[in-house]
Amino acid sequence: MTVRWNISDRADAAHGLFKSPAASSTSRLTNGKPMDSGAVMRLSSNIAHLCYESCRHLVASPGLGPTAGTYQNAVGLYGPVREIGFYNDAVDALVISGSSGLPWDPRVCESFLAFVAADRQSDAGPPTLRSIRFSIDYTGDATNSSTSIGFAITTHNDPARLRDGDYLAFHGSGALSTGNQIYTQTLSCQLPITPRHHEAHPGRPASYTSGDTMGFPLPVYLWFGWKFVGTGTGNQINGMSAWESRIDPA
Amino acid sequence: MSADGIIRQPTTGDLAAYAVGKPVSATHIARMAQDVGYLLGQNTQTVIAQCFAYRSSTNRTIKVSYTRNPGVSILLVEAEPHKGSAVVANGTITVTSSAGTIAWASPAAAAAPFNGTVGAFVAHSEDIARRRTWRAYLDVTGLAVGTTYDLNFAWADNSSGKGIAKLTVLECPISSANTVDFPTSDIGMDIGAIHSGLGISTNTTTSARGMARMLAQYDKCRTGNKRQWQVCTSELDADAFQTSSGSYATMMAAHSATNPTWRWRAQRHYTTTGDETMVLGWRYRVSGGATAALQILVDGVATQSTGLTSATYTEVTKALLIPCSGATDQEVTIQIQGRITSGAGTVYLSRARVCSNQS
Repeated sequence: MTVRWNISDRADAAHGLFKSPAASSTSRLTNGKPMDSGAVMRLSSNIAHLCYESCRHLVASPGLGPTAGTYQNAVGLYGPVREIGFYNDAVDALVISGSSGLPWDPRVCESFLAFVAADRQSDAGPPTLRSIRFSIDYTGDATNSSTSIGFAITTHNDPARLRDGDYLAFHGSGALSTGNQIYTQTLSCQLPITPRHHEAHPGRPASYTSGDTMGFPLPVYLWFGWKFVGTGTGNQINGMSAWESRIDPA
Repeated sequence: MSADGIIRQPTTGDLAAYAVGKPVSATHIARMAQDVGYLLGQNTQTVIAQCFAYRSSTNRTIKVSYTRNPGVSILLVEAEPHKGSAVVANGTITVTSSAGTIAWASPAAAAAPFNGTVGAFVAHSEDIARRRTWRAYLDVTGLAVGTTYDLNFAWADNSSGKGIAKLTVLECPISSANTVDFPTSDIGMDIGAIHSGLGISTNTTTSARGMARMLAQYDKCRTGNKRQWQVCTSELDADAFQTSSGSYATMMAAHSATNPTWRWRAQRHYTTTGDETMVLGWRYRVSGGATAALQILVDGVATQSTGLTSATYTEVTKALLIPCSGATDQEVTIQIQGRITSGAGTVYLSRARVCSNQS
C-alpha cells in the first residue's frame, strides 16, 4: 500500500525550521490591513513544519530485570494458541511456528497504552496510524538456545475481546544475538483506522464523517515481548522505548 | 479543530500560492486553519509518565511532574495492578497537587476508585493471563496552564502487600474532552468562519474566527508541542532507584546491574540552534549527609547535576540540549547514572524527566 504524508510545503526544504515573522508583522493584524504575503508564507511553512515534527515519544520504561528466572522457557509461547496467543490467524501461524509469537503472559511481555496519531494517508481509504519505532535494550544469556524479540500494536490488551482488525501490526525478530544488545524496529500499520477502532474508547470523537480526512489519535497498546530459551540466569530486559516516526519501514 | 469537533489531517499545500503581490485566498487560510486545528487536537505531550512500583512494600505515593498544555482538560490514567492485587477493586487512588485534590472525571459518575473499562479475563488463570488494567480520567481544569505541578498518586496496598505495578498517565487529545462534556470554548478554530470575499485580518483572539485568532492558536500549538520522557517510582527508599557508588554507576535499572539505554527521536525546530532545548529534572534525596551527583548521557555526552545534598526528596532541574545534526528522525540514546561524590551515603532517585522547553 502506498502511503504519503499530508503536509504542506515548507520554506526550508532541507530542515523546515521555524522562522519567526518580524515583530512589525503583528501590526498587520489590524482591521482593514492586508496580510503581507511573506508573513503568510512563513506562517504556512511554520505550521507545516510543526505538523511534520509533531511525532510524540510514547514509551520510556525501565526493564524488569532478571527476577528468579521468570523469563526462561516462557510457557506463553508454547501453550495452546487460543489460550495465550493473539486470536488472529496470521499471528496464530507465527506462534505455531514457534519463533515470533507474542503471548499475553506478563512475565514475557509488557504493554503500554498510548495515543497514536492516525494521519498516514492511504490511497485506498481512511488514514492509518503513524509508523511506530520500537527499541528494546536487553541482555541475553550466552547459553540461550533461542533469543528473540517481538513488537505489536493492538487496540486493547484484552485477549477475550480481540477481534479481526484490533490487531494492527506485529514484528518478530527471529534469532538475535546474546549479550547486551539494543534491538530496534519500525512497525507500520497497514489497516485503515475506522470508527470501529474508536468504539471502545470513551473519549472517541462525538461524530465521524468524511473518514478520509479524520486525524484523531487512537489509543492503542504497544507491546514488547521477548523469548529467551535456556537455563541461564543472565537474561534481562533493561529498557523499552517507542515513539512516533515519519520513517516507513523498508 | 473545526466546529464539529473532528480533527482533520494536515493537508497538502503549495507555498507558491502565497505569491508576493497576490491576495491570499480564503481557501488557503482555511487550509492553514485546518492544520492549526489538527495540531491543537492531537499535538499534546500525550505520554506524561510511566510509573513503576515493582517492588513490594506498603503504601505508595508517586509524584508525576505535569505542566498543563493549552486546551487540555483531562488526563487518561491507566493502572495495572500486581498479580493478586485487590487495590483497584477495593481501595482508593487519590490524586492531589498543590492546587488541591484532583477529581476523577470518568465518563459516568466516578465510583471509587476507578470507573474505567475493566477487562474480562475469566477464562484465564492469573499465572498466564494479562493483568487486568483499569482506565479512568482526571479533571485537570483546576491546574493553571503552563505551571508545573507534582501530581501525587497515592494508594494503599492490599493485605498481601500488593499494589499497582504500573501507572501510565496520558494527556488526552483535545477532542477527547468533547465527549465528556468539558468546555471547549477556549480552543479550536471554526473554519467555516473563513469566507471567501470577507476580510480575515480582523477580529480578536477570543472569537473562533479571524486571522488574529488563528495566529493565537498557532502560538498555542507551538507551546503545546511538547514531549516528555518521564520515569517515576515511589519515594520509599526501598523502591527508589539508588546507588552508593563513588563513581558513576547505574541508577535506573529496576533490578539489574545493567545500565538501561533508552532511545529518543530528536526534533528540529529553530534556526538559531540545531539542538532541541529540553528541561532535565531529577527528584532525589541523599542519605548519610553525603553529597551526590547525577548525570544523563545523551549519545554518551554527559550533562551533570552536582553538589546534591537534600536529605528529603526534592527536584532539581537543569537545561539540556538534545543534539540534532539536521537529519530527519535522528535518534539519540539516553542513560542515567549517579554517584556519591563525598561522604558515605546513598543517592535515591524517584523520578527522572526530560521535557521539551519550546517557546
